[in-house]
This record gives sequence, structure tokens and C-alpha cells, in this order.
Amino acid sequence: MIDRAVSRRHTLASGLTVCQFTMPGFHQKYAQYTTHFGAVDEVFITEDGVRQVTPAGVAHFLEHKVFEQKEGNALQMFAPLGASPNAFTSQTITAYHFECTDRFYESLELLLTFVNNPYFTEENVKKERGIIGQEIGMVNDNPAWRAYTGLFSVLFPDHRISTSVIGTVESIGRITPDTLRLCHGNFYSPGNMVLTVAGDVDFEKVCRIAEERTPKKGPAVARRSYETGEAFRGGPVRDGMEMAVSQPVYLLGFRDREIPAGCSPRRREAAATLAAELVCGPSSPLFSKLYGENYVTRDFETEYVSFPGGGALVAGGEGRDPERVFDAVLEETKRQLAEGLSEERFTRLARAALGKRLRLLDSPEGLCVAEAEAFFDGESIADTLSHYRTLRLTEVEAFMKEVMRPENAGLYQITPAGGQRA
Amino acid sequence: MCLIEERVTIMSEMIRQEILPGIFLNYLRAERFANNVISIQFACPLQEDRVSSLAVLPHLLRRGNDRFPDLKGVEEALDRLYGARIEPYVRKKGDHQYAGFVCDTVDGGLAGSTDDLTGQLIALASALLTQPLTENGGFCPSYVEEEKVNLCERITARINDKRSYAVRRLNELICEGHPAAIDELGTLEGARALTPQGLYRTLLMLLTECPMELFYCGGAHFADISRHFTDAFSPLRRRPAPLAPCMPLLEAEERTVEERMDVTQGKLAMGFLTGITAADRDYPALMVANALFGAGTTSRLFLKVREELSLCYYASSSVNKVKGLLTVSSGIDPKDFKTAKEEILRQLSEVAASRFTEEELENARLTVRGALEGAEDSPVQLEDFALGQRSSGSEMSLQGLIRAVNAVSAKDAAAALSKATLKTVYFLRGKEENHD
Repeated sequence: MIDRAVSRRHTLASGLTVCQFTMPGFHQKYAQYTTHFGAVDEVFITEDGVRQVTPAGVAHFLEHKVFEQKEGNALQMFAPLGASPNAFTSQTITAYHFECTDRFYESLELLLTFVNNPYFTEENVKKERGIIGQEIGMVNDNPAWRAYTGLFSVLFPDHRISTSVIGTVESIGRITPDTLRLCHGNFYSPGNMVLTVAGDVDFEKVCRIAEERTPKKGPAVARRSYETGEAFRGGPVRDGMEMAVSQPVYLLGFRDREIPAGCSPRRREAAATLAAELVCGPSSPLFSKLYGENYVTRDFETEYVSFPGGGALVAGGEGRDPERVFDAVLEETKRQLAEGLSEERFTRLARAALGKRLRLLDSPEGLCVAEAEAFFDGESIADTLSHYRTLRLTEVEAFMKEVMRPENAGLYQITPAGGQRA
Repeated sequence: MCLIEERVTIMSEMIRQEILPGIFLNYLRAERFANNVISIQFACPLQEDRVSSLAVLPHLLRRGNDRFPDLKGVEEALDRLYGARIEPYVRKKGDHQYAGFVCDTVDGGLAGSTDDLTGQLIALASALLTQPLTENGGFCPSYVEEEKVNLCERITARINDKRSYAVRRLNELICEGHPAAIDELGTLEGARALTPQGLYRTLLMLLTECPMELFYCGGAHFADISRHFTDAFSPLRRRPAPLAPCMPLLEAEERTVEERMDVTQGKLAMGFLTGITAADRDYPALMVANALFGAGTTSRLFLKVREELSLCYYASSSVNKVKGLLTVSSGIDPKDFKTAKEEILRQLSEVAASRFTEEELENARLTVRGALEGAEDSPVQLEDFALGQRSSGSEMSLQGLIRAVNAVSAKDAAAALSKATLKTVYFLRGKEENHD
């Protein structure tokens, strides 16, 4: 069963790579067609040397509009096949996917066809502004979203990671059918995409369908530029806003540098994950202490986010005094580094981290999402698992010393409106 | 259709057996999973005088026991089991409250271990429930105080997610006067009144009298799982009280309730009585009708109300299979309240009057079947399904339900939806807007 973590891979002549996980006995089948184009890619230089500056939120807007076909909305075309299609846009990727139990190959044909043949008109773009405008209103009411975007805006004012994935009502107002064609043409190119599938399906057949339904070639992928022209002045930075929440919702984090060429982003992530576990994971002395004083709950979570040009280790949740948690994490890192890290704790935590990653193996969707993300970093899920098996404590210590310092730290908190608890 | 039938029969069915007095093991052998899922739940009637105790107990017991007296000790034990999880769960199914742990661990062989991780996890989770840390005839007072604070936070945090908050308020309103209206987390007053001694007495009562639902899904044999649980629970002197299935809600006051909060997007929720529960023979038809009307991307609410008319940012319907309710949840621009509500009702009456195509019907069956088959790939969903069936008094298996859904006709679906009567409308809107 361990083979389930290793995808079969094949790269077509066009440059599109197909990855598959075989899951015997599962009803569900999942396919995800992903482009390495996300919210950070607003500014790019096309093959002919022209610098393009597109409005914030364009990747997400395009994701909505790609479903629009000459014959109608692609979402509805999946219905007769019994598949559930959807899509998402992150800072770095845009993914179109479906899940089904029957008629997988027909749905796969449809997925690959519609993503490559969007139909943009003035009218349908205008209508979408209203829908996304509503979505902007909705995410603006979501405290966890605000904490996330807030933290990245204070930690990375110099990087496009600080802009909101969804954009603003003003920025999406500037998106035209031409903007969408420009981005689709440049980034929905076979060499910039990956198809990941999971379930009890035939790999050869999947590759054959991919060959038939995707472009034979595409333009060279545009070069991107992530600088905003602002500067990061160093931490610790603290910021926040008020909302109708019952208690503060927050995210704290450490700014990481760009991972040097030749180094593995997934290994960096493994080192960061273990560093977070050692300092403030559920079995750490600090977590027990903060939990016992009601400063954190079991919802307190840590995550390493990597993107071109940087990375961040973030941690957050809800609690009565985020400042206290922020200070405690900084202090505890310093203390553990000064007193020396425990090899015994590290070994136990690395084993637990490996077990947690193995959970993915029961999730067709989880496997496809993780494999696509790893793919664009030049890696795979199997690589990720092997990093957890071979990681050394010295690497974790180096990460803590370099990254988990006050100069790189930030906190963004959403506090109850009017200083009143609801 | 033939293909589906064939595949369903190769799935093993869930075994349900009373392994000790009032302790039921729901077991499903499934070797395809990399993880083993285990659940241990107390099953009791929702009662105001006990709801808060049950809401806090799984969290309190998760803090430690006589062997691992603090959180750090428990977490370290879980780390050693390759990051196994023991998660406190408190749920409501109609008039019943379930409280306990849902646990999982990766297959030992996969992680490179020769230990029986599942057996050790069952032993650890059971020991947390049955051998708590006590002092002076009660739980550890500081743990109780801290978990009371956490419970209060969970209760007040209900308002953070406006979408689920609106549905919860609707449910409270439509079920008013029935146990199903009680929040499974109880009230702030109830939480504050909890004491170390009172909670300990409640635990002893539960361990003696309360029916327990155990669940296992994974590759281990029934005999081994049954033995692990029997070893853990046989020291209890059990005198279980029976738990009757819930009855459907048949009457409710007709009303519209509007509340204001600091939101930009309005939330419109609507509650209907159907009288049809999972134990009813019309239930598969109601599921299909619900998909025609409002569940999934082929439904009327999605295609007409959201996509075509752009009246809602989201709009969907769901069925409460224990109480026989149909609920609509939508996010709207507050100025569209009246239009959105009317359009939602119009779509409901269209479906109830059989004004839908054969294609829509087939899409609806596919949506329901896809969701049910998807649940077969998720042990956690299977566990939740088993509890829902228990509370509804339905003995139908998931596979049986899939077969029944395939057989639902247009007439059945329309007839099921025509039983839906609107009782409650709940509208949550911004504070700053003008009244209209």
C-alpha cells in the first residue's frame, strides 16, 4: 500500500505532465488540472518582452470565467455525468477539479476541454464582477481570512504575496476580456500545467485522453516579477483590525527568505514543521502551559507556506490574548535554542509528523492537491515523505536560528469590535 | 444501473453487535484504507440539565488520566503512535446528544512499525474515558475551570461563522419547545454552573447507564477489535437505560424572525417540515427531491437562483433526516430579501408540482448517489451516518439506501417535496442598513 504514495508520471510531448495515484477499492475518483499561476503572478514579462501589470485578483477572476464556454457554463455540463466540479485559486496556483464515482473518463475529457477553451465576453465579465463583488463581501466578513491576508501584508510589504487572492471591488472593476485572454494565453500553457488524478483508474487511458484534449504546444511561460516597490523594515511587527468576533482571532508568523536554487522547498517545509512542533506543537511544554492558562485552544495550528521568492511559518487560532502567545513563542524559541534541542523529542515528533502525512493516502483529493503543489517545486509526495524520514535535528535547529527571530516575526489580530466582547 | 448494483454487492456491510450491555460495536472491514478510524460515543437524550456536562466531558477527559496526568503526556503518547489523533466530539442528532472521541491512526506497516497501533489507540482512548484523573471525589478543579472557559468560548464563537450561525438559529426557532432546539454545547449559564464533583458523578452515571456506540473501520478483524473494546469496558458494571429513536417534528409555529448584526452580506435561512425521517420509506425520495431543489450544482437553487438570476451568492438546501426537516441556507444582498425568498419558494413549488425534466431527475439521483458512495470512502462519514441511522431508528445500510435512491421515480420525488411546509424564515442582516 505504501506504493500509493508514489505517483506514476508521464510528460507529454507538449510539456504537460500527468501524475496518477492508483487507489484500488475506492469509489471516488478525482482529477485536478492545475496551472502554476496564482495571485502573486500579477506582474509578468511575456515572450515578446512586454511588461504586463494586471489588476489584483485576476487569477481568481479568471478561474471563475474559465468555466464560461460558448455552449454555456461548464459546471452544468458535468451534471449529466454525475461529477462534482469545482476550482480554487491560491497565491501560487489555479486548480480545476472534479470528483466522481462513475463515468470518470468522460468527465476528464470535459475538464481538459473546458479549461483550454474559455469564452470571454464583455457581458459575462461584467456579470462576474457582481458575483465576485459578493464574494469579496463574504470573505471580508471572515475573521480567519482577514487575519491571513493581514499577516502577509505586514510581513511581506515588499512581495506580491501581500495582495489579496480575491482582489478588491476596485481592482476587479479594471479586469476586461482582454486581461483574461492575456493571462490564459500566457499561463494556461502545457509546460506550466500538471494533471493529477487519483482513484481506481487506468493510467494509460488517462494519458491518452490528456494527449487528445490538451494543446500540442503553448507559448513559453512568462517571467514573473514579485517586487512591489515597498520595503520590509523588520519585525516584530504587530497590527490588526476590529470585527464582530467573540474573541480575538489571530495569526502570527515568521518571514523566511527565498529558498536558494538547488535546495528543496519540501525539505524546508519539513524542517519548519518540526521547528513549530518543538516550540509550540500540541506535545510541547509551551502548548501545555498556554492551554492550561486558556491562551490557546486545540484549534491552534501551525503551517509553512512557500511561494516563489519566500516562505513563512505561520501559527494561529483564537484566544483571549494573542500578544501573550506571540511573545511566548518568541521567548520559547530563544530558550530552547539556548538550552539545546532534545534529540529524543525530535525523533518522536518526526515519527508523528510522518504518520500525519500518511493520512493523505486515503484522500484522492488530498493526494492530487499535494502532488500538484509539490510538482511545481520540482518534487513529489514521495519526496515529502522521505524528507520526514531523513531530516536531521541540525537542519531544524538551523531553521529556528535563522528564521524564528524577532526581526522576522509578525502578528495580526482581529479583535472584538468596540473593545467589547460579544 | 447494472454496473452500480454489481459494485455495491462487493462492499462489505457494516456489522452491529452489542458486545457488552448497552455497548454497541459498529464494525466495517475495509482493507483499502491506510488509516484505522475508531469512535467511542455516549448516546443520550438531549436534556437541559445534562447537556453542558456532556458538552465539556470529552474535552475534560482528553486532558489526562491517572496514567498520563497532563496534556503533554497524552500528546506524547499519541506522537509515539505515529501522530494518532483522539478528538473530542460533541454532536446533536435530532433529540439525541452524542459525546465522546473520534480517533484515527495510520496503518502500522505503512509507517514502518510492527506494533499494534490500533489496539494501543483503543486502549488509550478508553482509558481516558474510564480512568480519569480525580481528586477529592471530583475531577481536577483547574482542568474543570479551564475547560469551562473553553466551552464558553466555543459557545460565543458560534457567531463568527454567520452562515452556520443563521442555520443554527433557524433550527432553534423551528424546533422550539422540543429537545432538538437545545444547543448541543448548552448555554453559558449551564457551562458556568459545572463543578468538578457534579461532572464526575455524571461520568460515573454515563459509564453505568448510558448506551454507548463504538465504531471501527479498517483492516483489523472483528474478533480483535471486539476483544480490545471488551477488555477496556468489561470492568464497568453496566445497567444501561434504553434510548428510544427520535420522532419527526410535525408541528411548528409559522413566523419570520429578523436579527441584525455587523455583516455586509445578508443570510436568509428557511425551515420546512416534511414529516419524513430516515426511517420512513419516502426518505430516499426526499433525498432525490432535495437534490432537485437545492443540493448540488444541478439543483434549481444553484442553477436558477444563484447562477441565472444572481439573487444569492450561495443557496442550498439540506435535509435533517432525524427530525424530518428541510432547510434552505443562502447568502443575499439584503435588498433582495423579498425577491430571493419568493424565488426560492417558487422553485420549491415547481419541483413539488413535478415540473422538472427527466434529465434533472437523473442528475439529482446521480448527485445523491455520488454523495453516498463518496461517504463509503470516508470512515468518518460512515461513523456519522451510523449515528444518524441510530437516532432515526432506521436500520437501512448505506448500500441499501443507494439501491433505494436508484429506484426513486419522478412521482415519488415530487410527492416527497410536496409534503414540505414552510414554517420559519430567519433573516440576518447588517446593523447599518435602512429598514425597509
